[in-house]
Amino acid sequence: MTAGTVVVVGSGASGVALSLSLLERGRKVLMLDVGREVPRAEHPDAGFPAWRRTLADPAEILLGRSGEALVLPDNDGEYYGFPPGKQVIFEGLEGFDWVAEGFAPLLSFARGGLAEAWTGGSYAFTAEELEGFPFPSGEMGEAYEAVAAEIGISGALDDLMDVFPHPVDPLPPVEADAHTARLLARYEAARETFRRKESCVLGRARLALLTRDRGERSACTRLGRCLWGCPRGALYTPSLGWTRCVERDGFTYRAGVRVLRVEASDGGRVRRLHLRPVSGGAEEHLDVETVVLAAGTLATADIVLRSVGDGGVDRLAGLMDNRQVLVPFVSPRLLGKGFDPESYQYHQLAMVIEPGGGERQIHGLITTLKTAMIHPVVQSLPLGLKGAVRIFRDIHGALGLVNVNFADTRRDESFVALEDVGGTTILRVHYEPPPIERTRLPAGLRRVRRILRKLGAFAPRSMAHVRPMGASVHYAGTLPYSATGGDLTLDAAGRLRPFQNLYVADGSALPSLPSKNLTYTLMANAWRLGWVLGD
Amino acid sequence: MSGERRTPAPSVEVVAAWLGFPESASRLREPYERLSRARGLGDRPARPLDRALDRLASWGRPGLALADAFAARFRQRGPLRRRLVLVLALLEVDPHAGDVLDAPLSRGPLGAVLRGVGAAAAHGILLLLSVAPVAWLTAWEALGRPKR
Repeated sequence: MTAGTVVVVGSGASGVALSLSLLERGRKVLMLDVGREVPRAEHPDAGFPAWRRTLADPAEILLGRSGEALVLPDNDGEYYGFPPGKQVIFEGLEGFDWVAEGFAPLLSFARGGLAEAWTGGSYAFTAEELEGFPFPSGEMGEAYEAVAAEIGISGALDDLMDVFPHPVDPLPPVEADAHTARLLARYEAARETFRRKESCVLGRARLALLTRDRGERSACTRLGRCLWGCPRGALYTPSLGWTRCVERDGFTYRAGVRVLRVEASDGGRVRRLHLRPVSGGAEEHLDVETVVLAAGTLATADIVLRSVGDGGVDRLAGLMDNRQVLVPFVSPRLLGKGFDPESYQYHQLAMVIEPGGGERQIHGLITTLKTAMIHPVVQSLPLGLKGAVRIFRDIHGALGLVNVNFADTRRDESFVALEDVGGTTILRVHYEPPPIERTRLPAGLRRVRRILRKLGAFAPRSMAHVRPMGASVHYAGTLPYSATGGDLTLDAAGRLRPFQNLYVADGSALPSLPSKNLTYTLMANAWRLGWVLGD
Repeated sequence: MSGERRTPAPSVEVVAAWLGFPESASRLREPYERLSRARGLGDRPARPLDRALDRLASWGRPGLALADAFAARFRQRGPLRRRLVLVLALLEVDPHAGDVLDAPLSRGPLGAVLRGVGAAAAHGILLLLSVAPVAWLTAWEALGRPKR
């Protein structure tokens, strides 16, 4: 390995952002990754109905060879079946086992990591939300702008600017579908009422979505195929950023390896990595100068715990995740009306309740569901299937869904640990919801339903679905930034104490988790770390 | 089959036609069988109630409508309901049926509400009518089960 090379472990949102930032500053990068490839979508000009007609076996592509995306009545109330083409994102890895309590963890060993399934929500933290970071929030502001320039973020200069301050100059928003436009018009007609009486702001979603062509990536043309993977590269995923890394000098990629642990000298200097090829074979060693862990919160915790186990550390406390609740709703005025399946499919609107921040803040992502599979929703109607299908056809154009996110805080009761099970060391993930959840959830959902009512929509209480912890995949907090120090915390440079040359760039670093999607912040934090290491 | 009686069950073609898509029915058989196997939907139901619902559903469209109404209320996670949902999922990915399913039946909110009220009333009537045959068939399945 060339002198001065930074070894980056993982190819997810953080690892790719960090690598791009380092390469921009002329540093050499070696990325180590399991790196399973996510298949690319084909027919980049076909809208959803036309694309469905091109498929030789639509059941295999849309439901999966073994029915992976088929949602049968014994599901846990989920309204989505995960698309078969994206199943590889969450496929497990032989030898990487875990047990979980109170948490349904998702891990990814795909190239691009968990964010290959990202729905593009790009919501910067405010200065208040960055208070726990031991460096000026202005540095993150610059990093947010750098990431926005790299990936392209669309949005509008609307009421959400106070809550999501970056990017300051977004790309224009994608054209709204009729349902979205109607909800937005209702908000704008009574804007002051929403702001003052409901303490709620609403606006166009901030999305990592190109609305203008940029290099190899094309602007969104509203094909309606977002759920199955954007065939135009308009919606950013880390694998698109990885392609940009590969095009640059100084980038080396090694797939098919799992990093097991780091080995350090007595002075805390990491000297080598212990790797294992995923295809089998003997453990390998790699001598290193600088290492950045960006494998995702859980996989990074696994590496760190295996590295420091001899020092008596057996757990990393403070695991956080956003509780999510799915709230379906209907806009009665749109009942019996048609809809255009060729529209942007993820959320087009975002709302924030209690925009001032704090643990009672709620962030809702509003999507109007057009080409998502209908059978998971139809079966939840309290009728026979034939009657439910007939009713659903009239409801479809009027249907929407709010994905409601709640904030989390670091607590000792929620942790990641290693556990010996039958002679094998596996990861143990333990989560306990904060005590406030018992009151915060029902109160928050009442407010969401009331706001929907004022937007001219009706949300049946019985259809709200509280997703299990872990479902949002916003894992964070196990190796947090700390201004006061302490082993297994990060300094302002992202260096993991007490190591001299081991850094952490993924969600582990976050000292707090507001109710927002964290991916944009992960990328900005990694980008900033690239500046620190690059200089 | 180890001497056990087979319970009749509606074919995928019958269910597709009953849901209003006879022209798509022939395309569904292969994926239906594949996904039934993959998700374990082809097994003979263990519970007499589930076998009774299968038997009732095999009595043409009226029987299927009664069994569907009963299962929707009392056996939401039962095997009949699971197979019906599978047929619906296959119809929605079928290019022809999918396009039809994407179109509304009514012409506006009032029509949609009236249609909804009608569907709810029809469901209530079917549910009432289903109780006696389901009870009778369940007793028959329970008592007629071969001794081991």
